[in-house]
Amino acid sequence: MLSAARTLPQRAVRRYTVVASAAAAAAPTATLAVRVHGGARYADKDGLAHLLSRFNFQSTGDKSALRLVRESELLGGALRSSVDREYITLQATFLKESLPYYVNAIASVLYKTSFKPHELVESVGPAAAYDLAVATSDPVKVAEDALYAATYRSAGLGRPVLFDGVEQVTLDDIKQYANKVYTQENIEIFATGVEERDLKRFVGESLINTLPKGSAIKEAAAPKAFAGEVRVRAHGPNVAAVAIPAESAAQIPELQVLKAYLASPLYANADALERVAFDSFSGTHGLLSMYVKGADASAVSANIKKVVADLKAGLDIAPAKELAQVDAALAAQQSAVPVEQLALDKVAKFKLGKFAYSAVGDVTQLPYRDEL
Amino acid sequence: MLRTTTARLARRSLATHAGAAASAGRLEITELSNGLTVASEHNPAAATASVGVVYSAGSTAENPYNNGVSNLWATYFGHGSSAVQAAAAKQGLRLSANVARESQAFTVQALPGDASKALGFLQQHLLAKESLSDSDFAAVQKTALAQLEEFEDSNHAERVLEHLHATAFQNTPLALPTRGTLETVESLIPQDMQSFAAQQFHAKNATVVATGNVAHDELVKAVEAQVSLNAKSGAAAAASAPAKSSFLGSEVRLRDDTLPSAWISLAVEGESQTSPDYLTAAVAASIFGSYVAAEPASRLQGIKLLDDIQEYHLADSFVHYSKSYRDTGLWGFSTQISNVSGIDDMIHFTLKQWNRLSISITDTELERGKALLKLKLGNANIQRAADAALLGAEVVQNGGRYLNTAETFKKIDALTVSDIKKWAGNRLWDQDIAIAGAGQIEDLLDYMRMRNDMSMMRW
Repeated sequence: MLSAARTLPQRAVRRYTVVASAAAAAAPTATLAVRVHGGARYADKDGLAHLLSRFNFQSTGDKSALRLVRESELLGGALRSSVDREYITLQATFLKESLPYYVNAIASVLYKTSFKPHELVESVGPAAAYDLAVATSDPVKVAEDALYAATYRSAGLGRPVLFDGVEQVTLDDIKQYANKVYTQENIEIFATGVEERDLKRFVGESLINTLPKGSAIKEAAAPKAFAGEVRVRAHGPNVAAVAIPAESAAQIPELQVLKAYLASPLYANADALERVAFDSFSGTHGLLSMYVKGADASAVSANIKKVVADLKAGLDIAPAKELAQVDAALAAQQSAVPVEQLALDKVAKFKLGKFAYSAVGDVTQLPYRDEL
Repeated sequence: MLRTTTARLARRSLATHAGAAASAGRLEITELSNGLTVASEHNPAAATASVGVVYSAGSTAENPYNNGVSNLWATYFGHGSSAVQAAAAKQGLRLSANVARESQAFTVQALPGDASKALGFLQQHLLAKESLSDSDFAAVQKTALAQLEEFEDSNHAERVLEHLHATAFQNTPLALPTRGTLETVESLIPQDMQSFAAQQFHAKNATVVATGNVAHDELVKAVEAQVSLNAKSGAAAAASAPAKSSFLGSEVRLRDDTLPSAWISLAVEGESQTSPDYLTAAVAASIFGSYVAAEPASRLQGIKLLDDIQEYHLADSFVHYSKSYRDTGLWGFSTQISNVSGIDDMIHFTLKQWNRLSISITDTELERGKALLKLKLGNANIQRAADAALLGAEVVQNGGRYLNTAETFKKIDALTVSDIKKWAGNRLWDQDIAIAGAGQIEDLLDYMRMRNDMSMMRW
């Protein structure tokens, strides 16, 4: 079908990674994910990566968005594109026998999306606006963006992920950004439930193999982290949040375990925390964030002070090592892309050093960073 | 202890290759002589092991006076920062518990190789537990009440489904909400948990399930060595089985104009778990599928109903379902509507599309429905590897009938347009409906107006 008949010359060296795992080999479905180092941190304009992600699976030179959806549903598959600070991820879940179709579908998105002007106005724009509306209605999400801004300022990681219209983005900007990030050096291909040999062959025969060459824009060095503070007045529940940056690879396992510790009953004040998250970037840096949420600003203040006091006093987080391993294993199992393995041997005690702070809601009643 | 029977249902892969993982994901069931069943799907490539116990007693095993008691057991085991959770965290175990209408599951997720530790934990903290101390009970009750309040305030779609069951199966066991209500949970006492456990948590009612990286033989050995449940005689077990549930066309309206939208669910009587038409009903629901107005790709789906909906933005989202229980089921759809003056149109056009299932559904629509159902069943396979509770639900509720995906896919492929038309003619055309609505539902027409849309005078 589709690409099998075409014979393109095989390159001796493939510049992109292709990894298949047969972990779910017995299951009748497979997942294909193409991960592009093209997330919000790499875009020159705020929200550019978000708009590009929303343009994925729109019309291409081969077929319209309508035809792609209609063909895909008859084959039993679902397509999704998501964006975060590091990656744009294109993902397809489908019945195994359709692997070549989905390799080609994603390839033509990367290679020849049409970027039609009416799609920006009619599909991409409203969908992006909806994403933003959902995110801004959640004070924890608002606090997360504020924490990144407080920690990394206007360097890549400090930028907002979602398009909010503050900076003007044109169709040409999106096209140029696509040309910059959708290159052979900048993508990785992962699949679960398929044979690596099949995957490599189909990818080799697809347009992915003729993607233009560019330069890898992956940023491996840890950006400078600040002990900043951001306060956002807003209606609704109050959130006070603290972020702890990992500025070297060595700090990452410690923060992974701290995350597991704070989110489990091992930590006496775990109930006070609404959410604890850790994002790791390139395996060399990352940000742990924790959020206290509540309708009552004084309770939120008291709780965040208690949590920060505990962290400053030092916590014995070693008992949470195994829990962190289970969490990592579960995350790896649920994800189409590989999750880093943890080296937890050295983790023992945690004492708070540099941290950033954000407050969302009735900020008059919420504490300042230097009061924690 | 002797193993009496061993049933092995080999699972065939649909993939174009065989080899390394040929043995992965095979369901194996062993019945122990004390009545306990052990079921597992072994996947040697999995990074985790999930072990749990599933009782074939959910909210239908409760009564209006102890409704919510299963929820308390689930809260005790799976939620909050109780002593059980803390003990599990120290050993590197993740706990979860959930209550369905006809089963409840308590599961432990661990690293591969820790299956026996997980089993020991289950035995110590759940199976050997007959009652809670008064202080533990108070803490559990408080957590459960807080969760219930949160549920009532914010999860309107699920709340409407609970009320749909309450009205459709009124005065029969399926009517009881799985979480209980604020009133019933508040009135429970420790004795209720104890007597419910004594009556329902016995070997004949229990299945030990495992998925992920757990070998079946080792699991069976570990269960024999570590697990002991109170054995109850067959007669006593039968006496505690719930009464038969039956469907009644009816409605319940929870109008609240302070909410931003309307949430509505409407259903006919569906297929029971043992019905030969189980898959036909599932394919029929999959033909109409689901829709989210905010997703561009969702707007392009090949569902005829969308032509009517999109022009006037009649709905923000909808999802069709086919739910099956022991004696009966529900087949219908749930929708969220922010354009509240269009509720009557939304219901009308949806039911007119349902009419088409009996008279003019096309081959393409059927093929689309089949493909999406297969995708859903295939994905469930992968999710089960990380959560034994999902395997438990399939084994306890569906008897493992649809676990052999290759076989199930063959049955789905064999369905034809005339099968769907025949099914819809019997189960959908001119049948009574149950309706539940919450939020701004002023425009939800009266029962007979909607009931009349279940058939038409022309075709």
